[in-house]
Amino acid sequence: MAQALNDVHYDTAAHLARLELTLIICEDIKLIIEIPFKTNLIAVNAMLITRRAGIKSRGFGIIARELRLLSAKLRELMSEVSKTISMMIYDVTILCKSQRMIGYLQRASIGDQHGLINSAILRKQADMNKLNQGIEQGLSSLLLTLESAYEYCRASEALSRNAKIEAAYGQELSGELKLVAERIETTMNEITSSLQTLIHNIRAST
Amino acid sequence: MKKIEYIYSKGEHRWAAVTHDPERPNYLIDTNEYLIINRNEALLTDPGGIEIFPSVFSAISTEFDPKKIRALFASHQDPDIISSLSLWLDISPGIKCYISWLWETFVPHFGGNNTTFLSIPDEGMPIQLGDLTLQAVPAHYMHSSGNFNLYDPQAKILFSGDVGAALLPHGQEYLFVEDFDKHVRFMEGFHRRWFGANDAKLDWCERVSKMNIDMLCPQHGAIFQGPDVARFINWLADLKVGLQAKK
Repeated sequence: MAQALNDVHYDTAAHLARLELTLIICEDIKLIIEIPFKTNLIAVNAMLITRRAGIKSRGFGIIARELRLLSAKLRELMSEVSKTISMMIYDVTILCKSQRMIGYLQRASIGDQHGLINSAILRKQADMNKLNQGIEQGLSSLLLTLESAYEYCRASEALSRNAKIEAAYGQELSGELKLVAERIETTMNEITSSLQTLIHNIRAST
Repeated sequence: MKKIEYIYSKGEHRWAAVTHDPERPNYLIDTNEYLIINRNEALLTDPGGIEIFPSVFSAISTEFDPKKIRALFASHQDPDIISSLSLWLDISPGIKCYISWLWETFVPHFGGNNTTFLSIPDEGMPIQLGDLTLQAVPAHYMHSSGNFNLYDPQAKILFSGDVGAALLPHGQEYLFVEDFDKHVRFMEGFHRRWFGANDAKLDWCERVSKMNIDMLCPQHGAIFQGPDVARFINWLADLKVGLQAKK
């Protein structure tokens, strides 16, 4: 019986470290979530300017529409990421709660002649193993979604290049369009780099 | 999972209500937690029981980094108020817990040690959060013998703990009281039974009626706002509670 109890090894620090990591990812994601909203604003602004510029900036108008599509896609992906991370935090806090309960049970296990406490600990361990599997799956799904968002942004990098080219055709509004094109480039770089860092950090910590 | 909604926001000063969990089992009383944010730190009122900790924690984390919660405010000693304390301490070992001096040797049965608690004297005290000064307001015997509300004079919000609590039917919860007369049925029984002292109740009503309150936020049920705040205080003043209710 005593051996069985010893075999049940729990590590509070590991659970807390995992929670800490999940919270850091969550905070990083909150920062990234704001970018698609910013992208959408830039796209709307670009569309308004191209409307004023008329036929000469039709190319820029197409880019602005593509940018809106990208922003909508990113919002959809980031909303998925947001739900996954919330569920992961929920599950990790349940692990922390179970860990604490096991700590209480272990302290009470001295003199447990009928093995009741040992059985209770083993049941909790089984539940925790299931939760751990769910968290691992959540992390994999999170990585997949973030990678998909990253690939989507990489594929759309041509947008900022084309925006610069098309801005030149905007005649009297080309200065204004050039500024918008620069903002598109900055935002695309910002989101690609943030996603890259986040993916790298998650991979490094797992 | 619980939901988090902002009920007050002015610059970096915000109040968020953590409310109804649709998946909550019906054998657990529903609770409201309020996160008071000022600049880069926060205080959480009546953080709740150990069973709902995952739900409260994950809801908060969607809007605010929970590691920045500097303090907990426990209106009194009940399990639905503060039995999650040990888990908060696991996550933030330096977190402080404000509670009536009366309970500072009882509540450590839920967790914490002699560095965790900041005891509130009977007359109340100011509580600093960033550049905001909150005020612990006495509400003794309402229903606990060592009981405090928390007032934010800038937001004009009073966290009232169990005062103003309502037991809303599962699945029919709402954030703000919209029809006071209909709401009374969900709070009458609670106040009659859980509040023992008529004198204490009148003393509280007199005290808070002099305060400038836009929102009265209880730990169970729905938030009173605008004219419903005074309506509630008057209703409570007239209500017979405790032993007097039986006469």
